[in-house]
Amino acid sequence: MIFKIIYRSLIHKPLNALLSLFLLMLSVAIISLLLVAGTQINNKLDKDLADVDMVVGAKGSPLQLVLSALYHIDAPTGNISKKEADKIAANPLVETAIPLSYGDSYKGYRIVGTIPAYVELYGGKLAIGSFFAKPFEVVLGAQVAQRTGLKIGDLFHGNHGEEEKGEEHEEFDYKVVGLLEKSGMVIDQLILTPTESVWDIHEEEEETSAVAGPMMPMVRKANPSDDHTDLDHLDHNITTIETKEAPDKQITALLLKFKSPMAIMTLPRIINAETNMQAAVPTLEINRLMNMMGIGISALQAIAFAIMLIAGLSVFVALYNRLKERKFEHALMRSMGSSRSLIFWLLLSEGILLSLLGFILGLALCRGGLALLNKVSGKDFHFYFDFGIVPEEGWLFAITLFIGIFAAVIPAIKAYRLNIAQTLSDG
Amino acid sequence: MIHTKDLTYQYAGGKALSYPDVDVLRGETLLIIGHSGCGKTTLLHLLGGLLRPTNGQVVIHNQNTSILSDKKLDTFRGQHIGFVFQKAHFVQSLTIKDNILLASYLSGKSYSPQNFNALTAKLGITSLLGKMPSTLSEGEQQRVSIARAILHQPDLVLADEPTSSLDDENTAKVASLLLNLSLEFGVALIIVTHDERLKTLITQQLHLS
Repeated sequence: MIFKIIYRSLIHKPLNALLSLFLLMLSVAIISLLLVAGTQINNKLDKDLADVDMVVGAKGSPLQLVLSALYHIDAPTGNISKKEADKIAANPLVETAIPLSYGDSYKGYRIVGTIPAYVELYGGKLAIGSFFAKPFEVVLGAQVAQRTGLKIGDLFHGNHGEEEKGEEHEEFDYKVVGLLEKSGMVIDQLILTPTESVWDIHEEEEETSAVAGPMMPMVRKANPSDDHTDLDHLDHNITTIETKEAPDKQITALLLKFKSPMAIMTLPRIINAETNMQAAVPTLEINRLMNMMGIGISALQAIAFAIMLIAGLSVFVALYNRLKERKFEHALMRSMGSSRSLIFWLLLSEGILLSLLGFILGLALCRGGLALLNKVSGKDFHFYFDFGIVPEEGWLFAITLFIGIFAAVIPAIKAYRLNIAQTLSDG
Repeated sequence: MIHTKDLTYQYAGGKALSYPDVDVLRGETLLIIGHSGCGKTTLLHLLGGLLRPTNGQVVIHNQNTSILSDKKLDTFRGQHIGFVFQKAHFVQSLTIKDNILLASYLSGKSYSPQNFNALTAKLGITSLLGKMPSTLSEGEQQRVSIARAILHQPDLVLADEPTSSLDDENTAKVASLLLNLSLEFGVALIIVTHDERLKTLITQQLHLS
C-alpha cells in the first residue's frame, strides 16, 4: 500500500515526474559515460605504454609519433633510416630496441613489421601456432583473429595504407602461422610479421625515392629479376634487427627501453638536436594529451553536474508545488492514524524513487551510448568499450541519491510539521 | 464510550473556549449545534485528538487521550476514531477503493472483504470504486467518506458538518446512512453542525453558545 501511494502520487502528475526523471537520467548518463570512457581510455593508454621509455621516428609531431608507434591510432610521421636507428639501438644506455615498420593493413587492421620481442614487450602469448620465422608469415592479435575470422594456414593480401579500400598488394600472400592470446593491449589489434615482409613489398619505392617508405603509394617495378634476388636474400630466416644488415632499408619507428632513467634526460635531446630523427617520450606526450582532454572532460562534467542540480531543483519544485494541494491528503492521512514520520518518509521516498529510477535509466542510456560509440568508431580505433560498472559509479549513485533526498527533504519537513487541525478547519 | 471533563482550549494569543462535558455511549448519536465561530470544530478536533486541550480530559474507550504521546495518539486515533469532514478530502492519486482501504491500512486494523462489499453496497458506492476522487459528486464523495470512516470499525465516529454542502435529498440520505450504520456497527456518533435539517433527525443535542 505504501509503495502504491508513493508510485501513484508520482505518476499523478506525469509531466512533472517525467521532466525530473529525464534530467536525472541525462546527467547520470553523461557523467557515467565520462567516467567509464575516461577510465577505460586511461587504462588503455597506460597499459599500452608498456614501459617504453622513448620512441624514435621521423621528424614531426611528437604526439603523433607516440600515437602512431605506440597506440597505432594515428598515421606515422614518416620513415627513418634503419642504419641511423641501429646506431641508437647500439647505445650502451639502451636495454631493448624494437623496430616497427607499418603502413599496410588488412580489413583496417595494421600490418606491423617487427621482431618477436615486440610481443614480449606486452607480455603477449601465443594461443595457437608459432611465431613468425620467415617473411610473410604473420601472427594475429586476438581481436584481429576474432573479427576477421582468419585461422592458421589462411592466406591473405595486405592493402596499402590504413583504408580498407587501399590498393591491394596482390603479389604477396601473407600466411597466418600463429594467433595470440587476448591481452587487452594494443597487440590485440595488430597483424605482426617480420620487418622484411614490409621491406619486400615496398622495396622498389626505396629505390626510386630516398625519403619514401611503406606509406608511399606502391609502384610495381618493371624488372622482376630484382624480386628474385630479394627473395633469395630473405631465405636466411633473419628475424632480429641486429643480425640483418641492410644499408638502404627504412623503418617507421623504434621503441626503446633504457637501462637507466638517466638516459631519458640525455638521449632524446641528443637525437633531436643531432639527427634528422625525432625522439619522443611517451609518458610526457600522453600527459600532455590527457591535460588537454582533461579540460574538455572537466567542462562536460561540470555541465552534467549542473544538469543534475537542475534535476534536483525540478524534483524539489514538483514536490513543493504539490504540497499545497496535498496538505489536505496529508492531514486526512494523519486523522486516519498515520504518524508524522510516515508522511515525512512518503515524500522523501518520492525523491528517492525518482533518483533511483534516474540513476538506473542513466546507466542504461550510458551503456547505449557506449554501444553506439563502439559501433561508430570502434572500428577506426580498434578499441571497444567494456560495459562493466566502474567503481566511480558507486559515487555517482551516492550523489544522485543525495540529490533526490536533498530535493525532497524540505517538502518532507514541511509535511512533517503540518498542523492537521488548522488544515482541516481551512478546508 | 467517550466522555469529557472540564474541557478548555486556549488559542495562542486568542480567546479561551470552555466546553460543557460530553458523554456518548455506543450506538448513541449526539448532535452538537452552534453558530459559526463558537468553537464547534475546535471541540470536534479536541474530541478526535487532532488538538490537545489546554485543560480537562477526553476519555475514549477508557483511555485518557490527553496524556498519550504524539505518536501513540496518532495510532490511537487511527484505531478508535473515524472522521467525516465537511469537505471530503481524498488522496487524489488513489482510486476510491484504495482511499477507503487506506483508513484500514493506516489504522493497522484488518477488514473483511464481506464487510467491505456489504458496506459499499449499503452506501450505494459499489460502482464508484474504480473511479478517481475528483470525478465524484459531493453527495457521492460524502458517502465514500462514511465508508472510509466506518470500515475499520472504530469506537467513535466524528462528523464535522457532514451535510452542510449537500442538497436536501443528499442530506437526508447521508444522515440516515450515518445514523443507521453507527447503530449497526455499534459506534458512538458525534455530529457537529449548524445544519437545521439535522435537528429533526437527532434528538440528543448539545447547544454551544
